[in-house]
Amino acid sequence: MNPTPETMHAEIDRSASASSLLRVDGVTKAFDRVKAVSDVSLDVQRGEIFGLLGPNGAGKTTLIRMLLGIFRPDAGTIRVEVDGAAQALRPEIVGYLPEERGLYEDRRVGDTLHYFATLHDMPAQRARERALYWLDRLGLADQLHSPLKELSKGMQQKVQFIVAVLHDPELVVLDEPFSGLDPPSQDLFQELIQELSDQGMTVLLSSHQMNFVESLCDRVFVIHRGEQVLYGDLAQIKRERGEDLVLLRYRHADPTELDLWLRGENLARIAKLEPGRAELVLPKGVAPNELLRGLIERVEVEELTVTKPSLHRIFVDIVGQEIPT
Amino acid sequence: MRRALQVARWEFVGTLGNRQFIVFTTFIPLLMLGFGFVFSLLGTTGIRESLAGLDPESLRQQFEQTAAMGQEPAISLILALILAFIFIFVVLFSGTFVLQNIVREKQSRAIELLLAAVSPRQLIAGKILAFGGIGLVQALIWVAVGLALFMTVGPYLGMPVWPLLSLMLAFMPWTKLALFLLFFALGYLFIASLSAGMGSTMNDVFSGQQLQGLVVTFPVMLPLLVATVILQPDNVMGTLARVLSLIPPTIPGTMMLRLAIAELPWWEVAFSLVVLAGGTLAMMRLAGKIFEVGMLMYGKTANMTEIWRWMRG
Repeated sequence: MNPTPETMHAEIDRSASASSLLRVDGVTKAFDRVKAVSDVSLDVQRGEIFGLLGPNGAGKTTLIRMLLGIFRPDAGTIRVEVDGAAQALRPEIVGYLPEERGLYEDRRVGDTLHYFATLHDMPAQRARERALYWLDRLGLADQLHSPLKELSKGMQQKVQFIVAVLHDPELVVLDEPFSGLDPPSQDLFQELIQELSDQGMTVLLSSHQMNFVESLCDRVFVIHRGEQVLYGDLAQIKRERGEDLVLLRYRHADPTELDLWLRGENLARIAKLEPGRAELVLPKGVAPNELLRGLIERVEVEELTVTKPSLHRIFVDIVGQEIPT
Repeated sequence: MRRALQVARWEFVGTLGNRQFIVFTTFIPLLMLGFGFVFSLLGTTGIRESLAGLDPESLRQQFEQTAAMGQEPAISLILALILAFIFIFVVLFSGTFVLQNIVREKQSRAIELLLAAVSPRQLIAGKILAFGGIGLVQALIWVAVGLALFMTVGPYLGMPVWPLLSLMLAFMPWTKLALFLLFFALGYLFIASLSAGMGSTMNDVFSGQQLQGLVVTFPVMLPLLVATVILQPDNVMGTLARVLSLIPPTIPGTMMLRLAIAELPWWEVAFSLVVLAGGTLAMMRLAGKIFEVGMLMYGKTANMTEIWRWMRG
């Protein structure tokens, strides 16, 4: 994406990329002796989109609040590195779109943006310019002087998003940015997040919407009951963790026979088996070809689809429960 | 400090434009005007004669006499009563503003964004500053309206307005005025911190109204409620007066009244000040601690056991 003149300033030299911006080391936090986050370590690389996932109540928000300096960890360290030097977590470095959203209902959009930008140490004049740019970008140019309560819920969420990125932070934490948005706005947000990342902003994205995480994130960290359950490169995780799913439509075969054969050969686990239709899970190490070879001898294959595991699947497998979307 | 000022400015500007604030601030002077109007109607009867009897010259002699005897001129008492009233109004309303503002910020979740940029201490300090300023603006408006009322309605009642004013200025007890203001400021800081702490434990504005009445409103009003007792010459150094001079929320009102009619030993004034200042510092710390935990706990109003745990944590 070609940077427009307005966005040029946010360009950060990415030649120094692959260096970490945020180093979290052995961080633990307990409330009333209940551990919300337990011995978590992770690195967020400069310029990447990092996915932080976990079911509700897993400790995500607590971890995020520690990253932002709202909570102090009971143990462990959180370090921010800017230009290779360790830094204290200053407000100008971070931006935040919380999951729990809300701003000042009675105050004007422009005033609110200006307030938060200056609290994040952006000079007043610059804050005004950037606010206009972002409002325009999100189709809210007419709302500069409107009190927030006159905006629709989706528009308010866009204002919240602007609050998070207006001051050009090094790191922006977006907690469930897509929830409550209509599909076109979700697409717009996805585009904007990608664009910010391309310009060098580091994004920490937390979402239950796995399709967005899959298409945006380079690396993910999954937290469950306060602990790391998965951490690393998303593509690699999918290769290592996931089992291929096979959807089979067949003819001229008795389901019970097929069932018996599948169980005996250990080529696939049966998720669902009905006359004419089966859903199978390929164990790791079994290539689809092997299954197919056996199948051809026993049934007439009408349709066979092999699906790579989705992040959603992996997530549910690990966490062991359906997640509300 | 800079961030606290940014927060203060935001809240100050926002509140000045707030409808509730405008209605309230104008309502009280309108009430005063109403009273002034009624009084000037009544002015045809006995009040007019008794007010007209306020001869500045004889008053001056009276004041000089009492001063010569080492006693307080009546002007001190009037000033103390006015200031005590203003103190109570300002503190109660500004305290309520602090509390409501914090609860609203918690309810709207704006707090999440704020805490990513400012520390709880800076946030509380900013709000206390802003609503202190708001209270001051309110008080100034009321005093100005009261004064204007006195100057315009007074002549109709036969009061010698200008001579009375110059007499007041001449006999103004400046040292005591300074002390009043000191007690006033410390008292506000105490109540505002208490309100901030309380606000951060609440889930909605209504859940804490009774507690607020018990912990804030009652002790602040108490000195005025027992003023007729304290102001008796025999009781001004009595047990009740002395006890109320040692409980932070009742200190400002009580000390204003006592200072107005008596020469208190300096150590007693100093002791009250130290107790109030110490109480205020402790309350600020405590409120900060409660705030840090309470502000991000949604969905319910904290109970006393939980608050106790946060204060120790």
